[in-house]
Amino acid sequence: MSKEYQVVVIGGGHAGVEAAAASANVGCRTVLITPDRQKISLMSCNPAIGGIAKGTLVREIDGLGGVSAESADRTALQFRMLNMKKGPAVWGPRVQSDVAEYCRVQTESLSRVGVEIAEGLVVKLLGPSSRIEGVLLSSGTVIKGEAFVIATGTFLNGMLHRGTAAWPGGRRGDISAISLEKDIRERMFHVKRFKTGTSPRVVRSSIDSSVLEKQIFHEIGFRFSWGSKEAVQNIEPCWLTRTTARTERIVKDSLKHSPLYSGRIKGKGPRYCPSFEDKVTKFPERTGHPIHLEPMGRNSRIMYLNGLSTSMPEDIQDRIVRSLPGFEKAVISAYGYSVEYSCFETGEFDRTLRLRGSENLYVAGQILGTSGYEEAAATGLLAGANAAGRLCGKRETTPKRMDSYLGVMVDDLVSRGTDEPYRLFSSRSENRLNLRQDNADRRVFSLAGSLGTLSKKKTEDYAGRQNEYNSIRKQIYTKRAQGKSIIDLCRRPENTVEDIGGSLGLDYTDINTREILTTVVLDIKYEGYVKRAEKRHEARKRYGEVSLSFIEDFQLVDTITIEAREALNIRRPKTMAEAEAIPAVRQADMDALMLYLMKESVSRET
Amino acid sequence: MEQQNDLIAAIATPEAISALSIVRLSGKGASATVEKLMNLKEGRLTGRKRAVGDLSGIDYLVAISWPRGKSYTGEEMVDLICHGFPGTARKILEELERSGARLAVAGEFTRRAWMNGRLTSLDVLTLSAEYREGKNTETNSDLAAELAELTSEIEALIEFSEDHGVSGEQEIGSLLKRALAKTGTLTDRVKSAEILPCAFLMGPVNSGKSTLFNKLNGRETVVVSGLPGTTRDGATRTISLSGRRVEISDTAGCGGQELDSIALELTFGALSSGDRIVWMDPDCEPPSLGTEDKGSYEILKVCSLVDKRETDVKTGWLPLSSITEQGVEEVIQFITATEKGSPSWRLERMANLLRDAILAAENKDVALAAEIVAEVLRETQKPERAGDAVERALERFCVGK
Ligand SMILES: Cc1cc2nc3c(=O)[nH]c(=O)nc-3n(C[C@H](O)[C@H](O)[C@H](O)COP(=O)(O)OP(=O)(O)OC[C@H]3O[C@@H](n4cnc5c(N)ncnc54)[C@H](O)[C@@H]3O)c2cc1C
Repeated sequence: MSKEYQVVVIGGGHAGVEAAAASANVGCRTVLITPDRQKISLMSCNPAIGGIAKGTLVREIDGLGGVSAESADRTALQFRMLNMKKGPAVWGPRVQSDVAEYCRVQTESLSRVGVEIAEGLVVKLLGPSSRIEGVLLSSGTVIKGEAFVIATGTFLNGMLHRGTAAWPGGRRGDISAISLEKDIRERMFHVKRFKTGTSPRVVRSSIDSSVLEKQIFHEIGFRFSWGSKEAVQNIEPCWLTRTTARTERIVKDSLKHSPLYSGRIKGKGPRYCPSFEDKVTKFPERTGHPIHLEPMGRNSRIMYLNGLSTSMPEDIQDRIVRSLPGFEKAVISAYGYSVEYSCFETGEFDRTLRLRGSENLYVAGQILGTSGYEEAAATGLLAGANAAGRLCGKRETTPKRMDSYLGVMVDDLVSRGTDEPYRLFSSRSENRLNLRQDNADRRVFSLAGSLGTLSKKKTEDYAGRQNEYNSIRKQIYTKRAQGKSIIDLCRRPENTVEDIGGSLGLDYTDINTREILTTVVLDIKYEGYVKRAEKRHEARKRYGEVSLSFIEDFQLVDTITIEAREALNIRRPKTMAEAEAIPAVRQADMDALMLYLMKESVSRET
Repeated sequence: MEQQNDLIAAIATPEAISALSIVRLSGKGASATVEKLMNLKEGRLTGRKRAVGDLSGIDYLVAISWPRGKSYTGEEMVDLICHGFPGTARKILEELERSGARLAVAGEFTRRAWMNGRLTSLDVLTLSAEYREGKNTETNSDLAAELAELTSEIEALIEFSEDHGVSGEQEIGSLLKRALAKTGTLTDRVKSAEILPCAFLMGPVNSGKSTLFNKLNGRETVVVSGLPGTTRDGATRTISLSGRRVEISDTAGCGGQELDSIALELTFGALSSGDRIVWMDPDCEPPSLGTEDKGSYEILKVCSLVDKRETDVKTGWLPLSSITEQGVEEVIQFITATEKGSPSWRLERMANLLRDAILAAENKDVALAAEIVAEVLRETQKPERAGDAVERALERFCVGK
């Protein structure tokens, strides 16, 4: 039995779903292959979407016509804007999600855009790597296609660990993709081993929440998707507790039982989502680590313990959890564990997320070396759209580093690589004041255009918002309030967006108006900084065009370090870009070299 | 410019009877040269090493070597620590000269350290201030280090404070204030070390130039008389005015005679960028230069001897009287104004930026504060060109520094 499609997506995780949806939106007949349709877009770890930089990325996904933002809005239990006191450029929208609902809603979106879902486990790619022809399922079914996206997450030769126990699996309760990984390696693609871990889940009724700090945030309304009509509602609270000295002692005394510390896991784990074992080892003086108790769903019996990722043996996990205030009688419904898996080496894929050794094989999500649902979803969208775009004769598209976190991430993964699961941070961008959540739609609009992923309706909605943007901007530049011009008020650091809204007489409670006003005001406030950042970036980008070939002896460039001069004389770079790649040449040398070139070219002209 | 890493040598300690003296050798082949003179195995002084032994029968001494990139100058370097008899160090120096080393000129070691990126121009200036004061205090690199530290604090706050349930906005505020205070101290130090561009007092004969010059000098150094042309040769002095070091030149009066107007044109032609001219004329006549003058100097037009004047002063001219002191303050301000692009000007700019950053942090915009701090940090790391201020400061180091 064999079926034929244009685009075949392997793996129904966060990356796979966006890849399939994007491909269908571009107009290709698309199938998503995954073992269990109930687990499409399952959150393997914490029940939440968004965060600092990640939340901004979710809005970029929405601006690119993706589905996850809307699903996140529809299944949110609670919203919180992180970093409220640290500036609008680093505000991090985040929602608690109903995990089961999220799976259901994501699956619905797939059917809506016309993606077919095929249940099955891919064991082998068919045809030569340079041009894959189909995939073989464990059932023996062959599915043929013209382009393929692999998005198998933590499943490639996944090994789960807890205490001394280790067993194959891609996630608790799921099997490991062993054959597929073997096939990939046999095709001479280079893979590396990464690891990550998750926390135990507890039974809600076993916790005494009266001694915990209840957390429900009443903040300004928010929604991830510009398509969502209303702001996210706060339905379920979270709870906060802190580890005690006893918790930390139990962990310290039991480190020899942790697969992370006993040397059983060889993969590289994330530095930024550390296991609790890591936290205790790296910050031995710290105590009272915050632990958030988060619901897995609306009225869910099960709660997730955010901040307590561990792969200790079960009895020790029991002791750790019961050492928390309010948890004395806690019952763990699922123990924490860690997973070790294969992902592609840096250099195997290019900025379109196509494998370099192939014409039609793309990769997305965790197997690029990333970590997190949002990172996976965004790369999925890019890979899916490019796979489909190529079939429709579109030029392959790459996101720009200065325009989006997606661009930053892809550029980092391709040009710098990563030796631990890559998570987005706002500080990874050199244009942070511009990469905000409020203007994400505008920043990715032209990318969406070239990818062809944005529907007509969404394009029109965007145009409407742009009109309103222009009208508010004009009012700011022309109106006056209390004898002062509003543009001047806008530039003063002490005046907030709300203040400006007030002096314009705008309805700040209306979510649409508020969002657009925010973008206008912040654009004006940060204008100068953003321009300078872009100028610096342009200068760096143009290094490739600046020839150094007429410099015969770099020793003559006496404004740069001797070390750099010697390195330049040995390597003889032809352009500034090649010079920049030499480790001994620092940024200051590059600037000085540029000044030297300017001086020289003037004296050569005259 | 001479080749930069040729071998230079100098005595790095004061030439007086003391326990020890140090002879410093820097540049390509420093180690090999000493190895030969001390009969050491080849490579014995490669890298960070120490050797004890006899040097050409002159003294039994200690040689300490540094590899390139790790030494004060950033070049291959050897310090020879010999006994402190006068003459010993000198003999060693002569021996080194015979082996091909060149005697260093004042400030050359520091210059190399600067050229090799071991020091920034602000460092050189602060070092020069210290050198004069005989103190050892913070430099610009410390400021850069502090700002780098501050940046990582801010980034950690932005990325992780929510995970860890900590807040640190106030802390960032006080760190920023500390950086600002440090910038202030540095500015003061740099200002006191920086020598400002030259200020020329010019104008027709008997326009009160020498009187003003003496006033500024605070003592009688020039013979003042009522006879036209008393100060034929002019005089230059480096003096301290409002805490700044400035060179002031009293020039010969130039009026009427043909020779004088040629001299005037020549003088204007010889001015370097940033030089300041106080043009003094009781009759408010601007200097008559043959051609349209496009120099990059700055000029202050002064109507001098205003106490003797009955009519109004022309607009655009500063009324000045050395007797009533009217206008003297303005002249001083003009002469001591911070030179655009100079290290102290840059420090002042940094201070202003840091003030903006503090304001941003106070208004709950840590991300903006971070952006501004990054700008300040870039400013501290700007590539240095042979700025005049640095050149002037380097000349004041002793040989061997
Ligand atoms: C134990 C654990 C801990 C984690 N901890 C963190 C954390 O602390 N922080 C963090 O940011 N992220 C964490 N994550 C990662 C997060 O779950 C992933 O980043 C995210 O799910 C990646 O999305 P994805 O779409 O790439 O892959 P996944 O969500 O893993 O989805 C992969 C999909 O592919 C399917 N699949 C696999 N192989 C095949 C095959 N051969 N044929 C067909 N279908 C296949 C799977 O069934 C699954 O549906 C953790 C994940 C796990 C399992």
